[in-house]
This record gives sequence, C-alpha cells and structure tokens, in this order.
Amino acid sequence: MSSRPSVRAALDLRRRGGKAFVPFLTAGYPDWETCERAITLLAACGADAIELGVPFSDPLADGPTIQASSQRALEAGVSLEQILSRMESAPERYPLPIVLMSYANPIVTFGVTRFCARAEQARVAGVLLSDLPPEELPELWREVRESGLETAVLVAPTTASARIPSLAAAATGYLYLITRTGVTGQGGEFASNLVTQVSLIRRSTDAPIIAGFGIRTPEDAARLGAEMDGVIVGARIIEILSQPVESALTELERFARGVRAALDTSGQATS
Amino acid sequence: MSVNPGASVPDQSGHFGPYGGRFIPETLSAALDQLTAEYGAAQADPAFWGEFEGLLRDFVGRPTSIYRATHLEALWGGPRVYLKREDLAHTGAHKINNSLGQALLTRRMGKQRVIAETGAGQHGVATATACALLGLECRIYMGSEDCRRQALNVQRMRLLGAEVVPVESGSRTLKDAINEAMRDWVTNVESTHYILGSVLGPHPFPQLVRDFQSIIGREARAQLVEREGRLPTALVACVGGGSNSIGLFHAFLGDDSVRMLAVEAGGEGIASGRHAARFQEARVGVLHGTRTYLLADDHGQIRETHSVSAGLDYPAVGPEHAQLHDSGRVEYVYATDQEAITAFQELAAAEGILPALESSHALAHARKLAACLSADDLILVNLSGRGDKDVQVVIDWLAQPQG
Repeated sequence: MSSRPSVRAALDLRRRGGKAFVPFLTAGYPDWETCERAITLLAACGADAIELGVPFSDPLADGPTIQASSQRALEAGVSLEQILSRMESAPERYPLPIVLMSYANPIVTFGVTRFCARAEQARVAGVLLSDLPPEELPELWREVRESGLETAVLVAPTTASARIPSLAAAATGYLYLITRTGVTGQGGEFASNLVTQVSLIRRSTDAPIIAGFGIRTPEDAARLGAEMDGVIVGARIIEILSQPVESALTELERFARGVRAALDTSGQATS
Repeated sequence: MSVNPGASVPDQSGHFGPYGGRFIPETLSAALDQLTAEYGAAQADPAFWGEFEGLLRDFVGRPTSIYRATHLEALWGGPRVYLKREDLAHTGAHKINNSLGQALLTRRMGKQRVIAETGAGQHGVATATACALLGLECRIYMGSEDCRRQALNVQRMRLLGAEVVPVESGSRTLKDAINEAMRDWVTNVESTHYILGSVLGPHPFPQLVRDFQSIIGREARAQLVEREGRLPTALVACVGGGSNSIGLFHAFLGDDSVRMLAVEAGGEGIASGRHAARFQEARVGVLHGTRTYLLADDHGQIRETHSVSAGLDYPAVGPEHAQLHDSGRVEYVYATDQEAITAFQELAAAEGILPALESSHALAHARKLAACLSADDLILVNLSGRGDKDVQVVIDWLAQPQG
C-alpha cells in the first residue's frame, strides 16, 4: 500500500506551477453515492484536495446552505464512524487527499486516540476543526500531530498580527485564510486586509495559504488566487449538489472546470 | 466592589479546571480579547462600578428584599424559609443585572449595536431595556418555539425598541437562538457587542456574567446576617445556563457550613430522555464556545432538550458549575415539569406571589429539602423571576387531561 496521502505535499506540488483548488463537500450529502461521484469528478477536473465536512448539529460558523446540508446528512445517519468506514473500505473513491472538517464535539466524543487510529486506517490526510483554536485541548493537538494527521488552521481578517505566529506554527497542512467576517456562503465584499494578512503569515511559515468563505464564482477564485496559494469553495458547491443528481453533476463539472481554468489564468498572471 | 472568595477563577485563559475556555471560530478571537481587556480595565475603574451600582439602585430597584415565607413554612414544616426577591427587580428577573453591566461595557468599547439571545424572553427584555436606556441599537434572537411560548415577552421587547428575530433552525429554542446570535456576531463583530445572557459561552463571558450577577448573593448574605444574625443552612436556585444560581452562590462559596443546591429541569423525567438535566447524564463536551457538561448523543450531536420552562431548556451548563459539580461544593438535583407547576400553584396560593416557572423548579426542590430539615435550619430560595410571562403556559398545562 502506498504511503498516506499528504495535503501539504499536494498543495505544494500545485504551487510550483499554479494555484490550488480545494472543494468542500458535506460528507454523505445529498447521499453517499452522489457525494463519492462528486469527489471522483472533482479530482478529474483538477481539484487538489477535498475538505470533507463531518456534520455537526450546531455548526455556528456555517451559513444556511452548509447548515441545511449537515442537517440532512445527520437525518440520513451520517456519522464520523460511517465516514471513516467508507473511506477505509473503498479508498479508490477517495483519489485526493481528504481533510476532515468539523467542530470539536464530534471528535472529542469519538475519542481522540480512537480517531487518530481510525483516520490512519482510512488514509485521512488532515483535520480542521472550526471551533478549536490551537490554545484549547493541547493534548488533542499533540496527539493529532504525532499520529501523522496534518492540521489546517484558520486565520481571520480580524486576527491580530501578534497571534499569527502561533496559528502558523500549529498548521502542518495549510493555513485557511477566511476572506471576510461572517459565516460560510455569504456574498459581498472580501475583507480589505487580506494581502496584509498573507504577508504576516508569510513571515512565520511557508505553508500554503488557501482562501475560503464566500468564493462563489470562477472570477472570485481568480481574484483571490492571484494573492494566495489557492481557494476553497464550499457553499456554492453544496448549492449545486442540492439539484437533481444528474444535472447537479453536469453543472458541478462545468463549475469545477471553470474554477480550474480561472485559477490557471491567475497563476500564470502572477508567476 | 468587594472581592468574592473564589473570584480568582477562572485562570488567565478562562478555564475552570478542565472546563470553560474559548472554543470559537477564529473571527471572534479579537473581539473576545478586546472584551477581556475592556472588562479588565473596567474592573479597576471606580467610575464604571459607581455608574453600574447607581443604575442598580435607582433604575433596577436594588437591593431586592429577602422575604420570610411563613405560609410556606407552615405548609412545609421544618425550617425557616426565605425568598430572595429577584422577581421584584425591574423587568421582573435577575437578568437585568447582567444586561446593564454589559450594556455599559458596550458603550465603553465604543460599539453602538447589541445582539442577544433569549429563551424565556427575560434576558431579551432585560437587554432591550438596557439598550433603550443607553441608546443602543438592539436585535434579539429567539427560537420560534419560544416566541410562541412567551408571546408577551416578544411584544415587550418590540415596545422597548428592539428587533426580535424568530429562529427557525434546529429545535427552535435557546440553543438555536445562540447559534444565530453567534453567526450575527461573527459577521458584524467590529460594530457589535453580543450580550450573552448566562454564565455560558467563551471566556470572558462566564466570568463577567457571574461578576455582574454576584450582587444577588452579596446582598442576600448581608441581609440574612442582619435579619437573622446567621448564615443559612442551605441555598436553593434553579440552573439553566446557571447565572442566577452562580450569582447567589458566589458570595457563600467560602462559607463551608452553607449547603448549595442547584436544580435542573427534569422535564418529563430522566428516564423519558425529555429533560434538560445535564448532570444526570455526565457527558462532557464542547458547545457554544465552552467545554462543559452537556446533553449529546453517542456521536457528539447535541440533543434536543425539554422543559416546561423555556429558560431552563438548554443542553449545556456554565463551565464554573461543571467545576463546582466535580468538587462537590454544589449539589445538582432536578425537578420535573409537574413538580414545578405544583410549586408555582403553591406559592401563588400561599404567599400571593406568581413565580417564574424557572424559579418554580427551585421551590419544588426546596420543599423536598425542607422535609429533611428541622426548625433550627434556615433555607433561602432564589426567586429569580416573576411568573406573569408563564401564566398562559400554566393555564394550558392545567387544562390538559392529567394522566
């Protein structure tokens, strides 16, 4: 069996000649078959890694679109246990590095030691917990790192410069730069200080900086891709997947190819 | 302000032993740092406390009285029974103490907009009142199920100039209102302060809400010593998030002879699963920014809770309570919906006071406790709010066929 996938390696490989595309999917949404077909399709369209959302009942960092998809997945019985089992039993359906994205409580309840062991068997690349800053549960962070799981850490437009080095140090996978104050899926203006935040992060780490929150179009992706190492697209993809399956996958392919092309253009413009 | 025993907790990073902390989306980190710093400066500023205490005296009507409930004593047998009359505070509950304190902090931070969540509506009304007084823009998030149960309070908030937003997600109760308030705060963090209503959420909220509410216990302790020349045998208070109970208990934590009992909502009974008695299930997790005891399933998904009282209908408990539970300093018990309704009726008929259904849980347990005590004992029950808001709920309950 080949070595465990690395999201850091995948993003660094892309950075040599372009910008990374990291789609977010809610695990098991709208159903497992469609979700796994979407992962395969996104890989074929030039995605570099997948953030796979482990649904939580009270997702306070998420807007209505991802909330609703999480709720539906929970009602269909999706759980961390089920996600890890599927990844373990059918690794060919997960051809990209997978970062599990969730909140602290599902992981804490599952048990950190058990989670790390199961994540290794399931070839999970990394983990990102929206409500777990590096200061909290240091023993959880240590155990996760020592298990070989990579960590993604959030930096916000409001994050003070003095705090950035500790966030950067905690991120072995990538930095997720939040592009606006707010929850996932909102439109409107991106924060005005993103370039400043990027340069502050760069003083502390050479880990990839990937932008997310409210990136809805290839144009958004191109604009942010010019300043970062790549983009995360979440709520827009969940909206597409909310349509009837066949038209959803057709539109997802068109959208993903559009984002990939926009990023390739912006990558050339800045390299 | 006088120093409380135990006022040194939480630690620097907001932990009460293994509980508390700051489990939040990164966007809120700076706002919580600002709040912590501003509160630290305010704590050392006599002008801040002078204004706060002046408002508590003249606007809220503090100190609230302690009332010796002799008719209850006759019915219950045994100990002397005092009620701490937070129901007599302006707006009808203890919530106003915290809302005014945080509204003053909001002004101090130069913010003009306030958001808050509310369950029973009492914290919403208190916050709308404080905002009207201080000229702050105010938006209240309230679960649509709670809007239905507490329609009168919705109208009160609107008359006070607040915008009330019914929340349709999840269980449509307090926890969902907190989710929505957090989402608003994440979005408008630079202009807005979130007046969290209980000793919950990320640091520094559990500490500062406790400090603003600790006036309850400081008054009660001095009043009892003056009136009776002694400390009580036991204190009894209800616990949802836990602000009225911690507010009462805090001044007594160093008095080893004083028992403290906090009463959770037993709903339809623990075995039914339809309750909000967090300490009966002993599961620790993370919700709404803090690590504490909570009600969740085996996958860590937060459970829907049930209580006849909207203010106790919440799946987590304040982190300082988690610590006080583990240390054994406070005993955590529960009363069912039916017991609370019976206690409501009893106090109304015996003493001419309609208690809030939240406070009725404390009364229900106090009666059980009294049966085990003697005439030499003295108990004080925190009557955290008045029951006008609950009249319709009680009428509907009594109209049900009882089986």
